[in-house]
Amino acid sequence: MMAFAKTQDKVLGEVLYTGKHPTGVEVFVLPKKGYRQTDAMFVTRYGSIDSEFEVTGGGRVIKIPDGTAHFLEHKMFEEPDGNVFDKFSVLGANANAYTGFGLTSYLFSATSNFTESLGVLLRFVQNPYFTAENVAKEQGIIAQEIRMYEDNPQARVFYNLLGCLYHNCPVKKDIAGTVESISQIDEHVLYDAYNTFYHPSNMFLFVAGDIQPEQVAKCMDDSLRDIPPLPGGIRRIFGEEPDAIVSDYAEQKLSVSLPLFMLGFKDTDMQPKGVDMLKKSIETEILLEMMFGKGSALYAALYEQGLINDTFETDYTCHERYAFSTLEGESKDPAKVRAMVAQALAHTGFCEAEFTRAKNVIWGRCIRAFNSTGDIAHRFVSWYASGVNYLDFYNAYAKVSLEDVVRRFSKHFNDRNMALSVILPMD
Amino acid sequence: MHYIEDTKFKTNTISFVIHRPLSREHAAKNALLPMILKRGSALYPTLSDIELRLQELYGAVFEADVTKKGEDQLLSFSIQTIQDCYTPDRSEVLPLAVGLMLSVIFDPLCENGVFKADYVASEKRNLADMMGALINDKRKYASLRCISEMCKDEPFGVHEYGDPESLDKIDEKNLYAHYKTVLSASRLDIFLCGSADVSKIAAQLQAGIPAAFFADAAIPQGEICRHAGQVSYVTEALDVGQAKLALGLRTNTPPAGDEYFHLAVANSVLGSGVHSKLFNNVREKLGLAYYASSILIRNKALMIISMGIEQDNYQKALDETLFQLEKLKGGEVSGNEFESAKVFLTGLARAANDDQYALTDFHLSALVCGWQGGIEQHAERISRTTLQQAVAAAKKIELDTVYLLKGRDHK
Repeated sequence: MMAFAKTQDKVLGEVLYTGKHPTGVEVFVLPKKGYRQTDAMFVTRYGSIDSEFEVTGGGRVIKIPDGTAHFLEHKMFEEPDGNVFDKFSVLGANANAYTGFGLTSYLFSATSNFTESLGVLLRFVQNPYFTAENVAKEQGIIAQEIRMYEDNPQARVFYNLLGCLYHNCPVKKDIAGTVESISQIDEHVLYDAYNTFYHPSNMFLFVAGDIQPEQVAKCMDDSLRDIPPLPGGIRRIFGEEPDAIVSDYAEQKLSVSLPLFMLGFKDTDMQPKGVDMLKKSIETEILLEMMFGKGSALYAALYEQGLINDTFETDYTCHERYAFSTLEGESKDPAKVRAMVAQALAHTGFCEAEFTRAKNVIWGRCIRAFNSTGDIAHRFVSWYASGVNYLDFYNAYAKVSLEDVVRRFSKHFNDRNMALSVILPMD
Repeated sequence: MHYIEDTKFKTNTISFVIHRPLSREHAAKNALLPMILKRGSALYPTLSDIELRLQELYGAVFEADVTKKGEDQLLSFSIQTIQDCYTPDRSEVLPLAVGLMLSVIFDPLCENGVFKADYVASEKRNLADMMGALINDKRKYASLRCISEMCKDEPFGVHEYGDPESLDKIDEKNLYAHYKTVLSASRLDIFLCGSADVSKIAAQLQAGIPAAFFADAAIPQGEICRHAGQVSYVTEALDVGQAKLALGLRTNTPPAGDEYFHLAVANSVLGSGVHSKLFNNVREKLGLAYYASSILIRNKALMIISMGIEQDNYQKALDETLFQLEKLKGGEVSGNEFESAKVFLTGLARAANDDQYALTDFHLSALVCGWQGGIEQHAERISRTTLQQAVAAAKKIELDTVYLLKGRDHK
């Protein structure tokens, strides 16, 4: 039986078991006593941005069409003996999968039959079944998904913003690809991507719920297959991304009632994977709360002038290859919002009291995430892909000072890095 | 007050829910009340004042909104705080949060004895924008339009935001008068979920809510079951690439009897979950849609089926959907479909134990429909359902309205 290391976080009151299965799959178990639901996520470090790669030590460079990672995720659910969803359904487990920019996650949540469901999860992700016929059928379904997002103002305002911020980084492309690009996908493309990125050494498993690590270990022993190691590491090929943005404005017309806007700041202060990235992220969240949160002078001014409403929110996305802050909402006059934000940036000063309050808010947010097995799973997984154990949150959080935040502000929030994306109503 | 004790959570959540009968005349006024109250109170007169207080309470999450369950329009206020043991100084957070909430609901900021005029004006604009923004999500919008067509002669056809015409007539005076009526003559339910010193909170509420308020203990009861007449077909055009199809059906099954659980199983077999007939036929077999599903509106005895399709496939998708419904009514249900539907629904019910908002909503829903039971009894009723019972419930379903949202320049 594989061994687990136990770490305890006294501040959060949580325990995490960490191990590595002989096949190479890393595993994390977070027991949550009293919870009815258990969440499991089986994750490959492979997402929409990984469209050119090679296996070092003898592999060839492979370039795959946009949307392959997402297409592959859909196709994993089909097996020679039918649909994987059916196997979860009879066990009462709710299965799903997400393709992100840098990760593909297969997950389920279950209130009963946990170990049986975990077995199904581990086995189906190791069992690709791609044929010319089943690929062709999926093209129709995914084309409908793409069409749905083409009409979706939130999706458009977001991708149009990324198009403004990034020259070459593939984060700017729709995760699902285009109807055109997915038409180039066939079963060979899928196997090329699968054999590289779904290798156990590129995958990890996270489980949160009222469960013990030994149960998970046994299930892994029963369900994971030994696969010969890759001849070398996976090398992902990306074009150089300059610091400058492409354009500071984009607009599109869709059938919406009121303009939607997303104002973005490209982060050029890039950090390698690790806990410094988490600290940077906490600093940025504190800044977003101080400058644009509901308690800020700017928020009050924008709201009172009717330039934003309750839909306004801020976010920070952080990865080793791309990172950006966003402010989004509905506004009758997005250009005015931009102007007021720019003006506020030019006149910002930070005080200790504001900083402490904003830091409190970030702490409350972290505590709340640990209320839900699903939320913990998502947070842990996305941070682990960046080389961070999310249970280190408090350590990173406690170190953040007002000086750090001021320094971070000067590096990130300036109008050279800022772009505005707007969705306008049809004429 | 309903105390839902559960020590596993790291937070406490307290919710105030005020019940009002849904009507075209008053819906917009009711919808505006939570919005105006959360703009400022006598003690915390601006948004920033409220927010600074929330920040001090470790980013407590305060929400005020309006929903409907059947023809009961619900004005809800909730606040979620972290447990005291997670604060650096072990401070008592919940009583302070309750204090903020009492101040916001019962002691609003007034000018000349009525709501502050510019707050009312700006929140009216925001509500108008929210009404307009319903069109942004085409999937939800098609279902909403289907419901408003199907129930155009019933209060349920009114959206919980109300309509622009009645919003126009609101001013700070008539809104304030309405507020006074709501306080004096409504039912209020308070839910506290987590682990707290209940007697202390109860005493604080007792002292903070005037005894004359909330004299009415009744939950508004509207008409629930109604038969469908001739099927109506409604088509509208918007600038969209993907067409949306929404079907409105009458289930003729009341929400509190055992038959409701039979219907829930039948609905899941048809279109709720990846085991369902719609998912496996409309999507997986025919590849007509990315999503194709059915939901129940328990307190109005409705079922809504929705899907996003290529417009040219409209007839094909409609025929296939109705064909699958007929198969369900004819008892053509596989063992797999039936068992999967039941474990799906019991799992869903039990998962509500792990989320304070879901737990609160479960108890609120049970209260509104008059069903006396907890999550386990709910799950057990589902498990006990036989195929014959599910099919019997399905047979009572009648198609009422077919709504199609199509692209504008389509030939």
